[in-house]
Amino acid sequence: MHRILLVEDDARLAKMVADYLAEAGFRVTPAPTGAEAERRMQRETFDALILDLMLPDTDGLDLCRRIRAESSIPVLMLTARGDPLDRVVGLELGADDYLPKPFEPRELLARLRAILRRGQTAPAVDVLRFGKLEIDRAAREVRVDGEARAITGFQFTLLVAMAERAGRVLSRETLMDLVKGEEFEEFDRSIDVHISRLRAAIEADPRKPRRILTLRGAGYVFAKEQDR
Amino acid sequence: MRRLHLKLYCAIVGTMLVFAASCAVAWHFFAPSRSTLAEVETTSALAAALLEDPGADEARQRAIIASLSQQMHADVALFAAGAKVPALTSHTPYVPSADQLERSGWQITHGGPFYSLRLEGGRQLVVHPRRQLLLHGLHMGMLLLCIAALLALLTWPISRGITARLERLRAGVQQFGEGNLAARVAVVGHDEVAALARSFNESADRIEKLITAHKLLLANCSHELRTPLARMRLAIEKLPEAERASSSELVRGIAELDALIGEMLLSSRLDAAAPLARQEVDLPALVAEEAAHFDRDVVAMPVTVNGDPALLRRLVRNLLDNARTHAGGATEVRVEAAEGVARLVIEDAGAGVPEADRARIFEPFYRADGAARGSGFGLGLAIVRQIATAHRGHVEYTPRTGGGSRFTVTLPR
Repeated sequence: MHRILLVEDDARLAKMVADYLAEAGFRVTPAPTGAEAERRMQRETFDALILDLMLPDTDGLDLCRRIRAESSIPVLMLTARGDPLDRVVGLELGADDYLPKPFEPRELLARLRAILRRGQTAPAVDVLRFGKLEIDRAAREVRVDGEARAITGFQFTLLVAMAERAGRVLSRETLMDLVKGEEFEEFDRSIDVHISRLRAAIEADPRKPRRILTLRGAGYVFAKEQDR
Repeated sequence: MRRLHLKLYCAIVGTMLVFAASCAVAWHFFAPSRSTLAEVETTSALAAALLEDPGADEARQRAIIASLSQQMHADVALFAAGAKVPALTSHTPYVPSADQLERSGWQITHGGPFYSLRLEGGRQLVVHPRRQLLLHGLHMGMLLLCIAALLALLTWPISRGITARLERLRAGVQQFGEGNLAARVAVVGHDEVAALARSFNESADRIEKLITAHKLLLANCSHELRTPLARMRLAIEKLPEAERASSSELVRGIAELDALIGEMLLSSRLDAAAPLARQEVDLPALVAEEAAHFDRDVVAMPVTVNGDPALLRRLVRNLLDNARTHAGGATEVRVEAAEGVARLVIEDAGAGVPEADRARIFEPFYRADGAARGSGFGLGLAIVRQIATAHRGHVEYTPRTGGGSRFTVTLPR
């Protein structure tokens, strides 16, 4: 049974989250303040931390930074969507994921499970993450929602080349240049064919792509913000 | 203590006094003196009278000329009638040319003015004062100019001293205006400039406090309003299966409230003119990404703009959302590059906006006359305009050819 430390100053919300997570098989210890959370952390061990950004005694970001300095415990940050920068800052300070209030309870559960799963495996340093899509450059593997998808080595190289330039229009020529020197397994096939294979592998609905987009007459765009 | 006006007053009065004194001195030494001219004339007339005395022999005449020369600091010469060469002279004689000798009275020559007097018997007395009696107008003018130039040079540091401090003050104010709320100016001295600097600093303190409080309020608002929403959302989850149908309306209501809180906070933040997190943005890529969520294709020319990607996303999303809500979705999404600007055009084939209302659709919570409750535009288009303005761009509405709406956002590149 996973032990979760829930740092949330709103007692009623904390109780509801604790009850909800308890039903899903977690053991939740609530801590209403940052100081209380740090005391608990020293006395007990937890598998994951759910941290509210706004606490009465301290800033959730500061607390996250202090905890990160000592421990590699997975941190899921809860925050009222205030500033669009919050997300970036939270993740830079070492939060593993972020969930804006008001959240879908099931999404909280899913994200909590996801960071616990990640916590068990070795810390992935060479992984590009776009929502549920993970591109593991070390293992040359692509996963959607933690599940590996089968693509060829050439397609993986193409995917990495695009993902590294997410949010930019890439013409077919640019893409050809980027993967040049790579072994062309299927020489006669155009980039478009490989793209549609990639879509089949990683898109929820390849006919309505959300990750690899076509820009008519210009080329392709690897979406920067996915699964939002 | 108020000293700046005294300083300016002293500088002006001082300059005028120095100028007046310099002119007086110059006048004293160089100006033509009426009395000196008269002296020359009188003394020469007296000398002439003595020279005309028949009893005066040559030694006597020589003594008279020497005395005249000494008294008047002048070169003196006495010409016999019709002679070109003087008969008698002082120690250093003055010999004018023949035609100058013809006339009597004051004459101006290159060697300076001389006074010529015709004696009885055709003799001529020529007196040439060594002291410069008449300064030419040109010389006097140049002298005054030199004094003025010297004064201009001397007063330069004074005026710099006053304006340099104003310049520093201006730099501080500009920094503050550009968004550095911590910028303050140094208070130097005790005059009006120092007082201005002090009151600027006080105002800046107050503005900084207000903006900080505003930011804090925004952040807290979001937290305080959304925590209860989160509780409501969790409570719905605990309803028994049988009540799910009615709870879906609750879930939608919560989502709408959440979106509205977000819009109000964003709008308020944009109103506060917080600085943008600018970077180079590939506009076609960004628009394509947003359009994909609405299953819309994009026609685009390559163009980048310098802007806040999160806000630009919001702008595109709001326009696409508006088209979906009011016209069943956008019919065309275009990104165009033009001279110095990037243009985003989003068209729909809906009912369009009546001409009378076009100017008002970008106002917050605008609702067309007679439109049903809930059909308002909310803050979506108001935010579009705010974001465009924050990027020094603009958005306009034009009717689409063949019915419907066309929204054009123009952003500087």
